[in-house]
Amino acid sequence: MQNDDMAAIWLTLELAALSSLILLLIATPLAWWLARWEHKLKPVLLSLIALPLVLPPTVLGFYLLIAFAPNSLVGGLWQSVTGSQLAFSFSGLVIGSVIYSLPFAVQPLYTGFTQLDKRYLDVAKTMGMNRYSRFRRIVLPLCQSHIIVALGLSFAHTVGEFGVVLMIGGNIPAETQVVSIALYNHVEAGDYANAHWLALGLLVFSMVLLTILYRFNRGGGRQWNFR
Amino acid sequence: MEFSVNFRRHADFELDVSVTQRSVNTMVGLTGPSGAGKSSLLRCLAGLERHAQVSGDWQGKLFTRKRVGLVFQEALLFPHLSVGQNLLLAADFAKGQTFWFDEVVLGCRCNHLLSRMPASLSGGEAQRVAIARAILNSPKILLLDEPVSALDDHTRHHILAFLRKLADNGLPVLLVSHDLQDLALYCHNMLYMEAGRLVHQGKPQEVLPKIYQNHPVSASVQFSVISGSQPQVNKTYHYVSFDCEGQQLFATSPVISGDHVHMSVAAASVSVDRQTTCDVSTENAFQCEVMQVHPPENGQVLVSLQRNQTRLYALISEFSAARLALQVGETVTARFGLE
Repeated sequence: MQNDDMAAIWLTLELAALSSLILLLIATPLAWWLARWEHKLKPVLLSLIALPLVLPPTVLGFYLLIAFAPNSLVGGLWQSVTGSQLAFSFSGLVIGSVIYSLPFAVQPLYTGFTQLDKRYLDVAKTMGMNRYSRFRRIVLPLCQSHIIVALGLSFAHTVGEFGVVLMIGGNIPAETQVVSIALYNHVEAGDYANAHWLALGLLVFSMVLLTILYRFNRGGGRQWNFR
Repeated sequence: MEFSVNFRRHADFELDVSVTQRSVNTMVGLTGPSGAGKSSLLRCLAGLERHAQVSGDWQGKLFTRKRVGLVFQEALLFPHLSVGQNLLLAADFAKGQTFWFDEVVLGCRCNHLLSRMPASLSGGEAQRVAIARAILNSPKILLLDEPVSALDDHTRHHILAFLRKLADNGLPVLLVSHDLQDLALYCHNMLYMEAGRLVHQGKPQEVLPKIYQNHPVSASVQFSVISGSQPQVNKTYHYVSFDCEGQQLFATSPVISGDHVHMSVAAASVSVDRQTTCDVSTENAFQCEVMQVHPPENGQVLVSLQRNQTRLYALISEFSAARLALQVGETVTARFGLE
């Protein structure tokens, strides 16, 4: 395995961890609000969040690339604040990953919040708990299996990204080159031995992570919390 | 106790209740047919319905500003916490005057359940824990929605007596139940709701006859509540004697609250006697006046009897009624067992 490959693995893990944490912070309030919001436009918003599930990653990557360009509103603003450009940067990758993996974080949380028996919150309210206490002491423990699934799926999906990363990050070693792109490079160069290592590593990692998540959601994911 | 609640749950159901009771009573029973709006009323009083208009107070405690505890029909114990943790969580959020943990746990008979998880509890056990949790949260007003429906008779009376004790010590308690006997025995006052409106309110002795008169209640399950004072316990024969309207009555398991005694007497267990003295095994002989002889129903006749403020019902056979030919205003002796 080459040094670039190790850098790509490390970068991928860093990107996945950071994106998953940011996703959890964004998706939790978003899913909580969505679970309670009743409006005729709700299906439109749900579709918008779910778009990355069906859209070719290159389409999303293309629009993000345009949005991140220094002459665009978002890219220009970023550059004026940070002094560096957003496209082809690690920061750009993180933002792109968050948008691309958003449905993988929102959907499990949304399911958990909608299935939660609201009467537990009524009981908590009559006990004098404020909103924060109700969320921390009742909602979070009762929805913990969904939170872990959301975190795991976001991480796994970010690790498996290719199209979006290639479009907005390019292929800069130790900067934007993630494992899937390093694997593509090896295949293009005919270096099948290293390609095999990376492919096998991704395969085993994804399999183990998904098995843990499924096992947790079925057996360990406690079902007492829902009606 | 004076409050009013207005709440339109949906287009065809509006809750519009005004309760006005000047007497200082802290345990009030609420009953009525299913769908009358009892649970909705409790949710409004507990502040769980945002669009409800609630005003008024109880014992000077405003519904809108004070902690109002609510025990739901289902126990709704937090399933991720053990029984002990559920109770401690409630105690953590208690404000002001708090109750002794051990006293409440014992009073609600859940001292042996503390380490159990809610999923392992029976319906009755969960209900007891839910009541204890609500009390430990130190509410200023306690609302209970059929909290003892899953309990056996003995435990139910124990819990109701405990609630009555709390009420006598100043905690206002509003208890919803379909069991008229429980409400009549343990509550100072009763409310009867129908279709979102309050139809009857007053002392159990006043409300029960109105319920019997205006709403379909089978004569075979009718009962009356006899209240008296000066209870004296006989430990040899395990009964309590007390004074009721100047006569001595006996009961084996009456509800005693301070100097007051209440016992329920099923109409079916009362017989009517024209003789004032009789050497029979039924201990209670209550001199009273025939107020009404109801028309026969399924071969039985309900007779309303009264002495001053105390009303009693006797369910006798149509044959006996024809033989006795009871007249309104006639003085008779109602005989019934220790109950």
